[in-house]
Amino acid sequence: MKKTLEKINELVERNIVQAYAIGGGMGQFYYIEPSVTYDLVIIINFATEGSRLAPLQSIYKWAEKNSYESVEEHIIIEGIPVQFLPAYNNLVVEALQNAKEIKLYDVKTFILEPEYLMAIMLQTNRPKDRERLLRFFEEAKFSVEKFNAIIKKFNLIKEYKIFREKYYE
Amino acid sequence: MNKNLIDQITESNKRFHKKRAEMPFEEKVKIIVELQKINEEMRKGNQRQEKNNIRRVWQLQN
Repeated sequence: MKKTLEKINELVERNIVQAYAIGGGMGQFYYIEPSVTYDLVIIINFATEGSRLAPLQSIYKWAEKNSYESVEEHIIIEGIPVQFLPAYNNLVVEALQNAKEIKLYDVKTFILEPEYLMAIMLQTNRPKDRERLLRFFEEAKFSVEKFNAIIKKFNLIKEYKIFREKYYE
Repeated sequence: MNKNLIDQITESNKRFHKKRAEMPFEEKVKIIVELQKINEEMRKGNQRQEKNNIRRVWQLQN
């Protein structure tokens, strides 16, 4: 994992991506008890306008140069399937802008904050998102005020109310 | 069953998971790899193999 993170940092150093943060299951498991997962989801912002037009092309080129195998929408980087996901809506863009810098395996990296991950789970709303969101409420340390502000800003109050009614009332 | 006992078990269960949530990330990754190995073993015995190529045990050197 250390090598994987170092290689992902290389993408920023080479100006292929402007910013990134760990999201998806691995991002969630930073805050809650882990369960099984198989990939590392990396939310990205591209460095240049050109790369925005052909979103992942530059990353795939880089992967090919490094002899990393591509499997479906993943690139196997130092033993871990990594999925690069461009920030796909306003909520995810803001989540990426507010990602926090941390150190894992002594490597500098970035991770989405828990309140944004929770809002994204609420927005995505697949069964596994709902299950993990429940676990966030039970296990994670987060700011209720911040979470409330985010769901208000991104019009997720109704979804949150439905979630609360379904699981807590 | 005694309601107090059920409440105690529920609370104790919550505390257990909360404690595990506070583990260092590096320890969590080790657990994930162990879970992947268990899943791999279970899938070997499953005649209806899934066709998901990224479902592999992470080969981590560190």
